[in-house]
Amino acid sequence: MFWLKIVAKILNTLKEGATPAQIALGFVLGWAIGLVPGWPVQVWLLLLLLLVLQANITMALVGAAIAAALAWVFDPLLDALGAAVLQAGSLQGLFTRLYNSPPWSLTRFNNTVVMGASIAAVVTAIVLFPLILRGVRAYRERLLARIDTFRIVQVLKGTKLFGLYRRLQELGLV
Amino acid sequence: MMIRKTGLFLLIVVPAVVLVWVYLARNAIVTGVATYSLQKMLGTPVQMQGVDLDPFAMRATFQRLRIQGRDDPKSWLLVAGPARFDLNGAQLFARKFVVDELRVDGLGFGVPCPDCKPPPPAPPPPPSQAAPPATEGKGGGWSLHIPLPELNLEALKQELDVERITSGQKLGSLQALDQAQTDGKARIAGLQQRYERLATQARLDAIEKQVNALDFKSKDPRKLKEALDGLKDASAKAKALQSETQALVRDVRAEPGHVKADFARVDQELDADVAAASRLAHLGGLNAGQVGELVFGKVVLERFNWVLAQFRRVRGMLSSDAQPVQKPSRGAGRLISYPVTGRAYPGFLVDTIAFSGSGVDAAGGETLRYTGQLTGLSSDARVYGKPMLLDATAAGKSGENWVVRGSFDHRTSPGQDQIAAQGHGVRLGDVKLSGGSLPERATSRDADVNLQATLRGFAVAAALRIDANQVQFVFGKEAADNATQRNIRELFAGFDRVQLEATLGGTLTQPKVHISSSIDEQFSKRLQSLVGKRQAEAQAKIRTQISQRVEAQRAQVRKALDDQLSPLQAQVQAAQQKVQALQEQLARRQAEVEAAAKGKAASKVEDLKARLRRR
Repeated sequence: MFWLKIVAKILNTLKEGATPAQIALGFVLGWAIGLVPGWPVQVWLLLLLLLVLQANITMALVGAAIAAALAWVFDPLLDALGAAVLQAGSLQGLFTRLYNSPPWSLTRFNNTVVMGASIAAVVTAIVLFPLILRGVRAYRERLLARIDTFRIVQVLKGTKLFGLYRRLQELGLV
Repeated sequence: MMIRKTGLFLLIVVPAVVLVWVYLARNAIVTGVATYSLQKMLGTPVQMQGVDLDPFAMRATFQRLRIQGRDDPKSWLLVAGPARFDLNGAQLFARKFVVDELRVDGLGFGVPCPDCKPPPPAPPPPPSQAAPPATEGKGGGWSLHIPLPELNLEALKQELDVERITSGQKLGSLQALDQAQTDGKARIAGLQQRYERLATQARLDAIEKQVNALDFKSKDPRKLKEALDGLKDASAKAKALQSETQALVRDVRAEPGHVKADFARVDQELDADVAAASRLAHLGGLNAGQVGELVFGKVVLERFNWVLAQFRRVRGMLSSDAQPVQKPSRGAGRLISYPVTGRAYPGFLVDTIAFSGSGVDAAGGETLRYTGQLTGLSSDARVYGKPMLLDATAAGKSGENWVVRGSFDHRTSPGQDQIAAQGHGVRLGDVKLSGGSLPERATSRDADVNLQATLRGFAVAAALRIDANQVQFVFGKEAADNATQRNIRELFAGFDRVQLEATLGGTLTQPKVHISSSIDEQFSKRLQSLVGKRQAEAQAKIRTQISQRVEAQRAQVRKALDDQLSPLQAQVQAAQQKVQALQEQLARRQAEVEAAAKGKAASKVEDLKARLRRR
């Protein structure tokens, strides 16, 4: 039932309420938070952005969950990417200066996985943001009517839980 | 366009209100937290006054800190203040706690507190938090446990019973005998197995069978040669068997020598048992070399133990930040290090601790005023790059003064700790001595004290020298019971100046202490003349009693080993003779066959020559 509730909420978000930009922003912010391991200062800054900007929090949670799972799978790759950047000859001067400046240690920039994940988060966010933006628009314009006819969606909508959810939504409680 | 106004408000205003409140109440918060934590940690009332925290300058000060004594509620365990901490704020970002300077004045220990009320009884700790057992260092205990001789003249009059003195503990010599028996039995059993594996009779029979199968009567020279080769092969086998048998015989003959060596160790243990029993009987040592330990052993060990306790405390403080390298888990990554261009800081550092204060006596009067500085208290000396240094001086109104210097260097492994203390005009107070028939304590007007101690890894080297003036020895009983004790008291009354020298060497697990004093020679001679004969008799009695027990058991062990070894010796001897006989027999046979073959060959040649001539 918990999963049904989540799927219903995601479908509803895609359908109405939030704008495509809010959905895309929420997703990429959550994606970046989920990709970077631990709680370095950049993750806190992203959380701050998520709360201050009108990004969609449901999509941020979805993005964070997907990114965290992918980060676990691609950990060796992120580690190799971070190590390559941190050990690049041309960047040694910069990193040495950062390493000797205590506040920068809050970013844990000299950790291979944190560096690899941070770079991957920025690059993928740049790519993902326009893709999601277009995807949501396309979904609303072309796919929404067809998806509503899908059996699974009708089953979901027919559940008591979904009915309760809609009523609560109408009352402005969710 | 996309700003969440409520979110922004909550994120800015709420933290700002909290921060302002914390800033305004900072001193009360710090006082409350520090007092509560210290009280909980120490289980005794704590007072803290005049706290001022300046978060912008990263500076904290307090005017007075007082911790009440738990064992003695009518005195302050510690009084300190004013004090100032200068924290290095930038390093907090790197999760490093660095105090640039810590200055504590007005330090005092055991200051009387007439108005103090006794602290509430501490609740018993839960089993999991009960006091841990005394921690042992990697190299052994941090406390010297060296048996010291004691002298009890009353013991010389009593009937000595070793069984009672040693409280039923098994003597080392008897344990060594048990070990000798176990080892001897195991060795003989091993020889027995070797003899059985040799299978002498079976191999002899096989060789004989091989020789009997050979045809030495054939007239065909080739067959005769084959038989001769077979004989040589059998002879080689017999020779191999002989050499194995000889090796076994050698080892069997050497066995009594091993038993003898084991018994020699028993004799060494016997000497140690006699010495230990004499010590337990408080017979003491009367040689000049033992007098130092006899009279001053207790006080010297106390001083050395105090020094080791300081070393242990310092090593605990200087434990390294370095963690054992482990394989990183998924998502943990690796940390890449870069050259440190500025100053490197360990995880915890107090760069300078400056302190001053005074000691007080029981009446609340000031004894010593001291001042000093400790630099480089760090959690990783390798990163800090300098050893921790202590430099302190103390002076009293009576002219007593001390200089204490310490260096605790853990930049390389093993670490090396050094303490040197020099005191002039020192009031030693009551110095506890060994007691028994000797003085219980000593007092002196003043003394010069020189102590140097070094601990490298767990190898210790320390030297203590005390030069005391106007010494008075105090005995436990008011009056002497007999003439001997009167004599001893008269002797001690004659010592005015005493020089004591003690050294400590070896390791913490095997320490070696040597103590000598200026009274050794004189005291030894007097003691020898007073009780030397009686003491020698007492020690002879102890030796006789122990020897009787050991010899009775030694005879049993010897018989048991002989019973096991004798049949083996006979078996091995017989086997050797049999192998020897076969070897000789085969040699003779080989010679005969070779001679016969040579004769046959010669007659063949003659026969051939005759045929040629006839043609």
